[in-house]
Amino acid sequence: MSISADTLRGHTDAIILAQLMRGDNYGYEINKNIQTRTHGVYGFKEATLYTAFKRLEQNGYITSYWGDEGQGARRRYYSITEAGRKYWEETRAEWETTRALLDALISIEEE
Amino acid sequence: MIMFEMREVFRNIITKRLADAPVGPAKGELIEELTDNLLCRYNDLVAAGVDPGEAETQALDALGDTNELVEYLKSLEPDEPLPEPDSDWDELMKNMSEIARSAMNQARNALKAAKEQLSENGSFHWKSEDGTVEIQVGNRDEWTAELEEKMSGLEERMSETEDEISELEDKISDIEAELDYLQDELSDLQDSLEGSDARVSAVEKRIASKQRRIAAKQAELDALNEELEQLREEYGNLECEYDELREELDRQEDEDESVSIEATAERVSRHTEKAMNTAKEHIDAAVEKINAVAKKLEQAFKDKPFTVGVDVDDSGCSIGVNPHRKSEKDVIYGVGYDKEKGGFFAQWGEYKGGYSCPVEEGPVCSEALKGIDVHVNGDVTFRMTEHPEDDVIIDGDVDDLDVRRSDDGVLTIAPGKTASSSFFFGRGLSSTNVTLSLPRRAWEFLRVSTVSGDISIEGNHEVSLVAVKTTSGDLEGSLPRCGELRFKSVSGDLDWRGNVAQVTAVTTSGDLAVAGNLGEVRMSSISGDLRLDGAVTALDSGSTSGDLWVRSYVQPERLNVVSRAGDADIRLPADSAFTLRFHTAGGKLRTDFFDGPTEGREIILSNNGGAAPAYELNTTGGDVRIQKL
Repeated sequence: MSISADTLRGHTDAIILAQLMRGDNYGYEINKNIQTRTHGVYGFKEATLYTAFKRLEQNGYITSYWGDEGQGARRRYYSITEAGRKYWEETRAEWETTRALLDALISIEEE
Repeated sequence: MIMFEMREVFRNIITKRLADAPVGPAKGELIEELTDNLLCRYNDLVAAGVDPGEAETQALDALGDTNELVEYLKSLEPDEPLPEPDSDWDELMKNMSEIARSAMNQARNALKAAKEQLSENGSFHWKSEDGTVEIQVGNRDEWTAELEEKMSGLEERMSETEDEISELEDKISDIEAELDYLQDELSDLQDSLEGSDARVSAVEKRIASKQRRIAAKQAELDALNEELEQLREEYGNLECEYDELREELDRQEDEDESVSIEATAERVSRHTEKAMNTAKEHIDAAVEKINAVAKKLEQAFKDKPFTVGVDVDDSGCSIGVNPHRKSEKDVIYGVGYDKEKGGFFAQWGEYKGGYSCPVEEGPVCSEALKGIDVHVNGDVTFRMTEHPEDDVIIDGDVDDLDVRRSDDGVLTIAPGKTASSSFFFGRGLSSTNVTLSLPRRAWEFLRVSTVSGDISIEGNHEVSLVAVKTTSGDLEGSLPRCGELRFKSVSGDLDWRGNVAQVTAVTTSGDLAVAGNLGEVRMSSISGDLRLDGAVTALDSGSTSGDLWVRSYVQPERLNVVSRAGDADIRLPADSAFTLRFHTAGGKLRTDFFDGPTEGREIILSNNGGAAPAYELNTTGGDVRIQKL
């Protein structure tokens, strides 16, 4: 099945915020979760993911901090803020509306 | 490939992709995060049974287009406020130079006047040692000569007096003899008074005459005796004066030549004291002028990216100007008195490499040391000690070395400053071997220049820059990580192992060999062979007759090979995708990457539809072989 990369790219921020709604996490794990949830069909390139992180951080929707792994490499964890939660809810509502409209417009089911 | 090396491969590639972004902590952290992510992805793929080569390719493919990240990093505010760009920087520098130059001229004139003032009033001697200044004003020789001349005059006068006395004494003696004779004659005349009246009368007349002559002579004798007495008294006075001068001269000769200002002031005449004070005033005025310049500079360049420092001591005054710009060098302005500078000086020049002071014998405390500079003719060996806090130990021909530590953390080791060592070092005749033990920690740089000595660097140090320059000496080294490796030699060989972000190696006839995870590599030689083994991110190589051999486990982002007669043998990962442009006059191309024809002077082949990267291979007669690993 082919997917519309452009369509998904327009929702990068919402996808990342949705992941962080489940709890703080670090970059590689966030992307891995996305791939798992899409059964390996979709995942972000690292550059795309981190550009989005930086954008969300600048807008105040997420914050980051260095984790304390004890051993191994230190990881930077990302955490959603209150503003981020509000933004995610707005974006999600917009998407619900858009999806309903698209369903109505594209679907050819008998009325 | 072990994990450590894989991390380096990813880090090198990410660093390269983000090369256009400004350097700063944000960039450094991002590189580390992305490196970790690619390494995690690689490990997961390998654990899932994917071939390591394929896993590496897939991990790198997941990096994506980094241009947006570069733009993001560019958009960040600098972590520390950087100097504002000055559109009128050149004008400012010009103004600063003019102000300083004007002050220097004034100071120079003041010092010249001081010197002339002193010269007019006799010679002077000024020495500055151990922080004290001693001045001896007045002409010691002149002073002594004056005494001696005076004594000589006295001696002459005494001699003349002695002659006069002697002459008088002779004269007195003659008169006394004449008186005796006259007395005898008078006595004879008185004896002959008997006889005729006429004869008696005549004799009496002669007696009276004789008596007058005797009286006259007696008077003359009395006067001469009086004069003699006076001369003798005068002679006695001269003798006393002479003895006093002699005593003073003897005292003068016994005194120490070095005398303090106070002692001199007591002894010198009033006009030399005045001259000395005038000289001091001139020196103070010169120092004041320099201080005024410092203030002017500070005011003129307030909030501008450089600072001004003033250092005044007993021997003079100097101003240091630090422009805080890499392209501009520090400048030092100074006036004062320094025997090594030939007396009074007023000068300015570039500040070279920081102030430094000699290091006492024994271990050197490594705290705050950031780099080592070694300039010797013998072998140089760097070793590593276990603990980061260890001292730096210098072994070898240490007696022949001048070891200095600058206030900005640079340890410099150079031949001693004796005339003979400088002479021989300048001609490459003197050989001094050095072994340095460095504590195990990160070093900013290790820089070595030598003529024929070999250099060996080994250990677990992390060094940002290794720079070696030799005429015929070899460099052999192994470090786990090196930011930049620079090697320049006429006939010396390079043999280096380890991960290096940037390699620049130039030789005429020496062979160059580097193995490890390598970022940007630039190598050139006339007849020496070039050899690279490991992971090469980018290569620019040039040779006349030397051969090139490359084996890279990662596909280079850039390959640019120029050779006249030398052959090139390049091995790359089997899945490498690139466009090859081969230009030659008589060389041959052999490759198993492409199916197309490999004959001709200009061959373009591609297995990725003509996309980047495009490898450029140019030879005159050299053959090129580019094969799959």
